[in-house]
Formats: sequence, C-alpha cells, structure tokens
Amino acid sequence: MKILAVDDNPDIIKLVQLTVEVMGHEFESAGGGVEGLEKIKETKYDMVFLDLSMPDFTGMDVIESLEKDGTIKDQHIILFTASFLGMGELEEELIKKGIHSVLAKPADIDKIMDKINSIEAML
Amino acid sequence: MSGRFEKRIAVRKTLDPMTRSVDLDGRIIDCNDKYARMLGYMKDEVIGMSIFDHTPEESHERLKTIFNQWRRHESVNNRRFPLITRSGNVFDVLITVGDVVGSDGKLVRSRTVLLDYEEVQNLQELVKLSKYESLYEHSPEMYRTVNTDGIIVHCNNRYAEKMEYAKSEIIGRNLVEHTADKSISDILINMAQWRFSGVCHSGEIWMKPKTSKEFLALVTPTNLYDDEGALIGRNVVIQDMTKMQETTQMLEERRKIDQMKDEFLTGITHELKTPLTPIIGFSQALGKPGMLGDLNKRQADAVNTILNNATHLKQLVTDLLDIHKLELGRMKFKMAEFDLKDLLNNVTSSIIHAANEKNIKIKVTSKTRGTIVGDQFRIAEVMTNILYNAIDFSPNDTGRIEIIVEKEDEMIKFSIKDNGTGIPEDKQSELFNKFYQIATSMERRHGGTGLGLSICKGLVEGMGGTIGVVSKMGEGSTFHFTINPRGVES
Repeated sequence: MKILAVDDNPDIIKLVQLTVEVMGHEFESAGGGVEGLEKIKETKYDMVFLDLSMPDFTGMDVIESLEKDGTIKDQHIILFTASFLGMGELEEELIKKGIHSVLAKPADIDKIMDKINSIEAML
Repeated sequence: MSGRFEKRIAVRKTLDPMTRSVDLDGRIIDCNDKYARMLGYMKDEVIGMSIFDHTPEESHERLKTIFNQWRRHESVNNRRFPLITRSGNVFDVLITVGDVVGSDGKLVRSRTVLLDYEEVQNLQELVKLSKYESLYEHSPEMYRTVNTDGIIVHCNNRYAEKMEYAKSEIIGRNLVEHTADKSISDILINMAQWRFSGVCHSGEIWMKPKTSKEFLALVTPTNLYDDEGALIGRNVVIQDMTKMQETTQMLEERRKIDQMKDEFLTGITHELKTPLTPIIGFSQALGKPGMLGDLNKRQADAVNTILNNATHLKQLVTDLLDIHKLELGRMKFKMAEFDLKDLLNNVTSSIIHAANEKNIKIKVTSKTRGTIVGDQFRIAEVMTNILYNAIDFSPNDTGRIEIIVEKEDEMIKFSIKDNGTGIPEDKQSELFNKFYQIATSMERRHGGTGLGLSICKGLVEGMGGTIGVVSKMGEGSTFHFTINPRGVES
C-alpha cells in the first residue's frame, strides 16, 4: 500500500513511518495541511493519516476541500488526532463528511498496525 | 397637574364645603368664609354681589337654566359647574341647591352647598389609596407616587429610608433629583413616552440616595387615573437590584472562569497527548521484536519503565478529561442492551492477570441474570477501577475478592468485597473526592491517578445510580454501586 501521513509534528511522522515501513508498505509524508492536500490531489494513496490541529491549514480544511471537490470518497482518511473530539458528535459528523475513522492520540503501536491491516483488508 | 397633587397631600379627610345663600333675584345674601376666600374676596364684599359675578361669562346661560330650575322647585344636585375668582381663575365645583321657604310656604332663598371638584376627587383618591395604605406604607419595597410632571407626591417609609431623606424633603421634588446621572436621560424618555402614550414600562434605573452609593433598581409603575379616565400619575414599586446584580455578575464571572477552565483543559490535554504519541509509540516499537532491533534485558527493562510511566500519564490525561466532562454534564453514555454475564466475564478477564500476580482469589456471585440496558463500557470501567483498588489493598496469597450482582428495588446492585486493610471511617466520605489518592498517599503501588473513585462516582450518578462504601479497619471493604437496568437518557 501507499500510505501518507500529514502531521506538523515530525516525531509523529517518524513513528508512523517506522510502523508503515516495518509492515512493508510505501510511506510519504507532509508537514502541513496545504502540502498534504497537494499530495493527496497529485497521488493516489491507499491510506492517509491526517492530523486535525495544524497551523494555518488544518486537517478540517483538508477534509472540507476534499468534500467540496467530491474526491473524499476516493480516500481512506484516518483522522489521527489528540483533539478532544467531545461527545462523539464531531466524529460522527466527520465520518458523514467521508473520512474513514478516527484514531485517538496517543495510540498504541498495535492500534496503528490494526488500522493499517483493516484498510489493507478492505482493498 | 402638580397643583392638584400638592393640594391632595394637604386635603383633610372630611370635606370642608363652601356655602352661599341666594335670593330670588340671584343676589348673595350670605356665604361662609371659605366661599369668600376661595373666590378671593372678603366676606363683606361678597354680600350683595350677583351669582353671575362669580360665574365665567360663557357659563351664564347654564347658570340661568340652573337658577330657573331652582325657582321651579326642580332639584339641583351635585351639578358640576364653574366659578370664577376675583382674579379671573376658573375652577369647578359641584353645586347642590337647597330651598329655604317662608311661613307662607313660598320660596324665600336658596341654601347652596358648593364642593370644590378637585377636593372631592382627591378625597376619593385618598380613600382609594387608603385601602392599600398599609401595604404601601409598610412594604419592604420602596413605593413612590409621581404626577405626570414627574413630581413625587407621595412615598412610603422604605423609600424615604433608602433615599436617606425625610418624607417632607421628598414630597414635591422632581424624580430626576433621585435619579443617578447615568439614568436621567432614560427616565426622561420613559416619562415622555408615558405621558404621550399612557403606557408605562417597567425598567431598570440607577437611583441616587442622598449620600450612599447609587444603586440599580427595577421600577414597576402602575397608572393612576381620575374619575374621568384622565391619566394623573403613577404608583411605582422600586426594587433594589443590588443583590440581584451582584449575583448576576458573580454568575457571569463564574461562567467565564468555567469557559477558561474548559478551554485550558481542552488545550492542555491536547498538548500533553501530542508528545505522548511518539513516547508511547517508540517505547512500544523498541519492545517489539523485528522493529528496531533486539535490546538486552537492562535496556528492555528501561524501555518498559518509560512505557509504564507514559501510559500512566496518558491515563491521567484521559481521567482529567473524563472528570471535566462529568463536571460539565457533557458525558454521553451509550445505552445498549447487554448480558450481565458478558459484563462480568469481560471485567474479570481484564483484572485476572493483576489478581494472579498477587495470588488473590476472585469469586463472582450472580444473584440476578439476564440482559439490562446500560453503557456496558462505562459500567465495566467503574467495576475495574474498584477491583484494581481491591487488589491493591488486599494481602498477597490470602486476599479474597467477591463480586456480587443482585437486584435491589428497581436497580441492579454491584458489590465488590475485599478482605484488605479496610478504610478508616473518617476517610470513607473523602474517598470519592477528586485527587484523594494523590493528596494522601505516596505509596500507591498500582498506577492510579487519584481521580478513579471520583470518576466512578460521576459515572454511576450519570447512569442514575449511587455509589458508596462500607468498611471496618482490619476487616476489609465493600464498595457498592447501583445502576438503572432500564438505562438513562443522555
């Protein structure tokens, strides 16, 4: 699989990269929302780990842009966030918008692996 | 208008009538002092004058009619009629004409009683007012009566007391004098609208006592009308809003603090979770075979210690958020039907490892079976929390823990009984307070945050139940909680 991680924290990028590559998948990264959105539009990824809270252009902005041009349904976006999503309502709303699921930070490495495996099983 | 009210204040409760006596030609042959005084004459001057001299010219025709009615023995009772004073002022009176007849039975002269119309009216008002006088005078609220010019014509004791004036200093003053500068334009606009429309609005104004601080008051007026329905003034209840205002301010400040706390907690937990992600992730990666190479035993121990502490920190952050959600009433419960057996299996399997480590026996006594509606995950969380405490405080090898599930009234009761050290009575009520563990015990062996039992309490209460403990030193403790088996609405 080809997997993209969009996060402004380079250490989190490194962790996802390690996990993805150990599992034998191809990895790319983007350090912000704008770069992430560009990459998603240029390249077909099998899976995207997307941070929510990033400066300037947030994960929410990325989701809304993809929702607007109707391409979000072609993506498997895992919202990888430390944000207090509160009451699960935002989560439901985002899933309605077309993301695949939410993975809360900090996540056990096994959970990250499970996510990758579950997407791979879908393909 | 103000004159009318000023007079009313002075009016006595019995009417003091004017009288005059008129001959068949309309000449005044006698009058009382009041009649002369009201018309601006000496009594001597009045005698011999015509009644037409005391009547405005435009009413002479009406006077002739009334005069002829009297001459024809027709009754004239309380007829409203104008009089004119020496200086040309016109005022209304109510005329009642009585007959004085001679020995031959013929009409000789009149005996006329004239009541000042305003006095009559004012007296009526006074009587009307007197019905409520006690309420008005002795009300704990301030009362004042103003005329349409805004002149204060009456006030109660409380008003005088609060405004720090003698009543005599208040009567006749414009209400503006008792209004704080910042409310003067408001009250003037209000008065103008009221005079124009007759509609009186309640509102808040700042009152200005003689020396004390200005205070906010809620002003509730009621219109006063004369007998013909003309607006003559208003009765106003004035309520000091200082306490209310202080309370409102306090609540507003508290709301702001709560909001700041909310933002702070949401922000800080996000900031804490972010660095925890690579700490936990890489610690786990180091311990996983085939990820980052093999570690020797000392290195593996060190990494495991990092991981344990990072996990503890993660739990603390989660607990903080949970307690925050519970405090704000934002915790949502996912209600679903589940089998009690599944719950008990899940809970015991999650703690069995910790119990086995200390060779503690766990026994489950299920006195009720079947399915209930509730948030299985949160009920399990409460049970696990209590069970870890029980394991923590029970002795190695001889420790015994019993989980009892039974029906109690309409609720399901869970009890967790241990044979541990027990909890001193004076500490039992504090157990469910936030941070109890952190504040009181440094020798915590299992990684608890001290928030555990307070979260349990919040969760149980959120699910419609109660939580408590029964304990005796040296004999162990029994924690118990109830759950509504029909679920609760979130």
